[in-house]
Amino acid sequence: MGTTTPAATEEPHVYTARGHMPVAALQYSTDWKVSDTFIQFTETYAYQGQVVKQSVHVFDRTGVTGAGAAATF
Amino acid sequence: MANTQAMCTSFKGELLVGKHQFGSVTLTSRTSLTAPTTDTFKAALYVATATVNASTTAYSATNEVSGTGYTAGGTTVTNATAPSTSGTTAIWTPSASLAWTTVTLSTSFDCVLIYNSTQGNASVSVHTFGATTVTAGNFTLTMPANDASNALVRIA
Repeated sequence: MGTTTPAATEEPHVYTARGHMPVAALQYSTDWKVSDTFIQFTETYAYQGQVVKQSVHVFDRTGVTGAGAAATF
Repeated sequence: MANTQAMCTSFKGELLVGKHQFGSVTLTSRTSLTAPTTDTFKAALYVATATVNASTTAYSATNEVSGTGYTAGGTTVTNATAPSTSGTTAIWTPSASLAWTTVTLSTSFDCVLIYNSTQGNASVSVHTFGATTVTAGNFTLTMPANDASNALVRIA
């Protein structure tokens, strides 16, 4: 009993808007946006120039603040 | 029209009447004095052309994103972390990331509204990011450090 290692000839696929497609057939790109409040990473798979898979990950660097105050008499 | 990161003004007022029950229960819960429960908080995404800001008082489906794999109303926020204080600041941050998996959201969106679905969908806060779309992929929002400078919700 043990894990099964895929045969070397098996081609890795990834789920896309066009169904499962071979990774090797896709163009992979990434993009970063960095601001004071967030860092955003986008990874895109395209096929013949058309985006078929895109995921986005945002790190919220800082939330929101409400200021408390007490009046003086 | 644009979305603006902010603590909702109505939320500030509601804090004074104990409307929201974050990650820990107290005997002053208005749900039940004998078996208090925390409220359920949710997170909904809005398109970039919406106007969600400090004046937003409650969740609305208007201008909420839609698409394959996305349920109107958004996703439930993990409300397991009790509010606490750090120095002179009260802080609260969800204990897990917000995640939408295998979704297709074709209309550009750039903000998430946190709201209390237990209390009439009362809004809590608005958080913005870069306008984006998602195609057959995942969208995740990782929470900030739960400290006086960065927590998702801070009362200073």
